[in-house]
Amino acid sequence: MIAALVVIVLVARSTSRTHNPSVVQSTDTLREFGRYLFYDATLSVDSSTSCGTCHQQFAAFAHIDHAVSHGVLGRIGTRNVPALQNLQQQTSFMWDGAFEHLAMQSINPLTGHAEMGSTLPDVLARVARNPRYQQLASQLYDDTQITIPRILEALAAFTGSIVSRSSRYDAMRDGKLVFNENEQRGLDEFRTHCASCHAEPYFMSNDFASNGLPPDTAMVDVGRYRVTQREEDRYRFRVPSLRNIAITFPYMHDGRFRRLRDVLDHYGSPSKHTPYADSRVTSIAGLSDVERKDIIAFLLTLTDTLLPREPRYRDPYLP
Amino acid sequence: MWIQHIILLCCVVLGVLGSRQPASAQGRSVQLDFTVMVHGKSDVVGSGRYINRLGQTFTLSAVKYYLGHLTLERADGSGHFLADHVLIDAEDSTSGRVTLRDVPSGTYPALTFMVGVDSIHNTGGPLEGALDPLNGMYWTWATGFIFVKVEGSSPSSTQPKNVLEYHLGGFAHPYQNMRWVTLRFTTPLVVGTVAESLGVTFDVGTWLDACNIDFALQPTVTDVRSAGPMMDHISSAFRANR
Repeated sequence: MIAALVVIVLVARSTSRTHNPSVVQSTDTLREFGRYLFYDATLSVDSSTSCGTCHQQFAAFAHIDHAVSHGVLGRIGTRNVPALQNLQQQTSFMWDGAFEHLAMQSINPLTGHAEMGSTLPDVLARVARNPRYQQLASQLYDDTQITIPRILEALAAFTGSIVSRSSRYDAMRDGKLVFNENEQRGLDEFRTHCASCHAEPYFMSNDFASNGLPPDTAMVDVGRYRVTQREEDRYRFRVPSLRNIAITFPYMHDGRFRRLRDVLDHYGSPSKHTPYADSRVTSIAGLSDVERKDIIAFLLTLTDTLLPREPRYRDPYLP
Repeated sequence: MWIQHIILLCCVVLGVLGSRQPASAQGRSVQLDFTVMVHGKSDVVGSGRYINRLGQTFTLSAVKYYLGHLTLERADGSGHFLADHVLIDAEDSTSGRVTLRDVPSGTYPALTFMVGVDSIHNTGGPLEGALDPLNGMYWTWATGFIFVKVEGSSPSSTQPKNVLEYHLGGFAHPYQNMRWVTLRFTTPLVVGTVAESLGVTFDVGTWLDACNIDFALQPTVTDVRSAGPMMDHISSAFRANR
């Protein structure tokens, strides 16, 4: 009796809500829809740039050797392209956490002036008249319609499916191999100095912190403060994942460091930390040369063997 | 033990009643008409030239805002509630036409609504309808929805092309900028045998004057901290026509 009434309430509530676009026939097809969209350069204003232009699979979906992102019409952004992996673990997106839902995040690169430079009405028009997407939509939705919420859900279904779980570190955790001496010492050092922000096994935290870098004088990026206008958020950025760090250079929110040893020099040298650095950074009293080398040896174990060549993540427009 | 079941049962029944109007035969539709004005004049987007209380002239190119939790209220505070958010767009006259269906017969002396989008919908995934990001009201660099968007130009503006741009939002602590508005009617709305309607105006001119906006000093407001003081004045700009 009570169960039946609970069901009635749930039905009553769901019918009174706005239609949720995520009711689809097949999540595999939705992911495919998302993969075609992700690599589709016609979504950008001049049909030059897709999501995959800056999020390169071989670089764990970061933009290798680019300090900051390149957008349409030669425009240059202000922040380093983050790797895309294990996004289901994140509660916010972008360096400043401006988005709290993965599907909504795509609006930023699609419409960003220095990214794809398009508008949502243009994106919708281009997707809706493409026979491939019409066919996918007819498989996915009873009413076969293509809408912006459905495009966003599809992109998130693809990017949310990108998983990093096949590194030497993962094999070590699974008991399939034993770290060498440097890697093991590096892991121990890492757990002492770095893991309070970059927590295992995703090597990130859903948190914002100032890493003690002086602001770039040209970009004057205030980080999360721009979003929240809270004074304590000035110069704070998301704590990124360190998975695949070896193949996602350069480093930091503005890509100012090209090499891992530059990063370790920063964290390991208290004199370089600005006064507003997070206490978890200033508590690092210093790192010796050996410690830095060991930590790097450990960080190299975070490189995924499958993700960079996983066929399900591949650009479908390539021959 | 069975006491708990009875309490649960009561909660469930109340939940049903609250979430869905009983299919009472007397239930009537009430038509609400939201209109955007500037100093009492409608058709505000486009050619109209207006003057604020500081004597600065301005024109408008867009006025859009969200309403949530629209509730036709009875004297005891209970009411008839619309679940969906509504987007009012001054350029689209149909957007202001909102129908409350199956309103039970009774006397309703007030209308209450929230200007803005509630926090659950600010952090959720994409939705169709009023909250579709296609409507241009989802922030592309900050978090959540723009609650109120007023764009235009004024010779007093120091911005390129003399633009005015007020994009007000913010749902997270400490800048929670949704605002509740209650309009009490001089003559209560009686829902009975005849179809009822109610007009509500939002006067942008009254609002900007209440905010004491100087277009030379504040031609744009697009951050959540500065939005709060402007949202504090928004209720003064709404009027019900009864």
